[in-house]
Amino acid sequence: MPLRGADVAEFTVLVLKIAFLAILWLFILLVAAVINSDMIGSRQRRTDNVDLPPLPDSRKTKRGKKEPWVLAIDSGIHAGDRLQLVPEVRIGRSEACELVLDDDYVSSMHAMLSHREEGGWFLKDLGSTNGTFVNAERIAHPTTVGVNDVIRIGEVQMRLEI
Amino acid sequence: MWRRAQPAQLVLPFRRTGVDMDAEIRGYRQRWIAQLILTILGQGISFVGFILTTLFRTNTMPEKWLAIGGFWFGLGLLLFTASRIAIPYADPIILPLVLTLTGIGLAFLYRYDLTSNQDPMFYTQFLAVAVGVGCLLVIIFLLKDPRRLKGYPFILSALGFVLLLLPLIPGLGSSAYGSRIWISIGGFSFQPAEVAKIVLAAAFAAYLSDKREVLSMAGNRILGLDLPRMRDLGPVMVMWGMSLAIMVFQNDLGTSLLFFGLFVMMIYVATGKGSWVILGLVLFAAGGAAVVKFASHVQRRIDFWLRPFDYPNDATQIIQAQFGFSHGGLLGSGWGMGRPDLIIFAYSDMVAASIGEEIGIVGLMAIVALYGILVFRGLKTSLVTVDPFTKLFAAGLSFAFLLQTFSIIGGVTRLLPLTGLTTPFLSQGGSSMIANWILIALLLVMSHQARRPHAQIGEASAWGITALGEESTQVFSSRELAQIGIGEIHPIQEINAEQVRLTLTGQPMIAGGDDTGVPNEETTEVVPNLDAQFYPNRTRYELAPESLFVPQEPKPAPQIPTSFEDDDDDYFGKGTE
Repeated sequence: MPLRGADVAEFTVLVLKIAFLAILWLFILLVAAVINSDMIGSRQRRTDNVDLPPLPDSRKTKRGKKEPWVLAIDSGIHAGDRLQLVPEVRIGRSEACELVLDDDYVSSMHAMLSHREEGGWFLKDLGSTNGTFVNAERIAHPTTVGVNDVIRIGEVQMRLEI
Repeated sequence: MWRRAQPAQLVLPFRRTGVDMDAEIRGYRQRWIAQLILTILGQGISFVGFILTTLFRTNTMPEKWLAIGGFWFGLGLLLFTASRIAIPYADPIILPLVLTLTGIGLAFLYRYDLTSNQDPMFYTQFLAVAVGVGCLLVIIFLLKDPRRLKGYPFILSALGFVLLLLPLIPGLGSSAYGSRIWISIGGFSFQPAEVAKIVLAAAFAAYLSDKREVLSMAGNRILGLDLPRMRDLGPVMVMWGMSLAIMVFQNDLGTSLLFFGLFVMMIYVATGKGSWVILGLVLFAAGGAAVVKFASHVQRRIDFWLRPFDYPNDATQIIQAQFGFSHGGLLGSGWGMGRPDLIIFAYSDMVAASIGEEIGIVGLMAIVALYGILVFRGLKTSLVTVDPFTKLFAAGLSFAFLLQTFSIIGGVTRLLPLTGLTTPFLSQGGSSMIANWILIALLLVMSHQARRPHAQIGEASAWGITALGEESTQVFSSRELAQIGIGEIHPIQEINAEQVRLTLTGQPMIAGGDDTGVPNEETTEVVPNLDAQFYPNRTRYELAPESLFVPQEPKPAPQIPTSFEDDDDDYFGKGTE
């Protein structure tokens, strides 16, 4: 049997060893808290706070309506991104596209989002394998999209935002 | 003269899969308060264990506890201060975790010395820890860029393989309890696998960051699985052969698993193809089964694992460890109250069992959790890193650490056949301690590089794409270019194999940073073209050879219908019902 200090009662040993285990696990909890704050901390650096350069002149239509010039990505690997649009955005897996979606269901040249000079955006499927969807319907023709439409390409959902 | 190519517009910070988007968007803070608190608490935990030992046994404080405590906390403070200075953005959790594990190992060795009749090992081990910390300090102050290790994949591989096979050399290698994974020179014994895992992780990272495009090409499709091409199987077969050789000749499943698993996992990280993992598992299982069938000594080790109580004279270690765990139970026998003196190699191979006896399964699970978090932080470092070599290297080091810890703790708890690998930071042994501190140092440097805000004006960087600023040369890495907001970026104007000429117009803005002072006009610079080909998705002006020499084709004009009213949605076939 191990030696035992005569003065240390068995009860004290029990309490102390439980206390040791408690601080060990407390340490792990604290580490978890630090990890958590590491992940969700410092939110100040969102891309949407970055000043974007001036938009093209056609931002407002003739009737003075504000137009969407931002594409918000809601799901998929780029979820949370808000992208400043250019008048003509090819979407696909190819590097030649303006918006590169690294998604297995996206064709290399999948779709094109274009701005018309008169205002408004239209979306055109460029012969993709898995189709381009607006509000869950596969589009067959170039389709006008506005802020209320949900665009889905592969597993990536996106919306226009003002 | 070079031709002016079509301007391309960078729409967004393009990102790739596998890149931590949080980091790219938000950036990381320095977390020195968290690190300080965790360091003190982690060190305190092991110090409490150290004190509890003698308190429980003899109701006294340990001999020289003030001096030992002073050195111990001094070491932690030194590490903290040095890491604040050299690598302020590095992960704040890694060092406290390592200190906690090291401290628990030291406290256990102190406790082991009290009841053993061998030479005391505590002070030697403390010295090894100090040397390990010294190595870490040298690395974090001198190695600013881990990519320096990239240039020598073949030298590193050769070195790694030689290290792995060293224990087989007669007269140099020595075998202990069935495994032949040690070498001894002049009274010092040393486990080459400890160093080999770092060297090989670097070698694999260098090789794979170069070849990953090729390796991810699909070959035949069998049973719904895209197998790699036959011609790409060479390296994996070499590793397979090596790992089987280790299994047969060194008789150590853990080492074998460590190196083959490391390679397969790194291929997976490099290519993102699960078929490599399945292929690796099948190969390892088939090879292992064959080896077990034909090599009787390997078969014996398996028997010791599955039925240790049938071999009371041979599987002693495993049996003792089981009795130890059983004696410790849930809460453990208490520091100093177990019987590690009954376990053979209680201080090295079986350290997890001995500690598990004294702090119980609750404590051992905490230690496993500490290892798990450490590996997680290593993989996180890999995730936030952009450079492919560093990314693979960090992942490789983390996997090596994971597989080693899994092998040995799995062996001790009889989840796997027992292996002779050391338990990182807990086992007695200088080479293991130093090698693992070096591993941590490398991870910390990579973590600092990955988490620090980029684009510090004037800072020299040997890679990336450079644009000339108004007064000083502004150095951008690919990450910064990805973070530059909107602006026109012209495709490469002129290129040779070594250099890139990049023209940047517009006002680059570094995410979260201030105006960089680059004027809104064209700037041109010739820069080294080292890594740029690895970032095909990142920027449109990328450097794949075919796009380099040919100016990019002008985009086809969009076919915009010529006549429609502003709100005439019907034209596009949208609501024609």
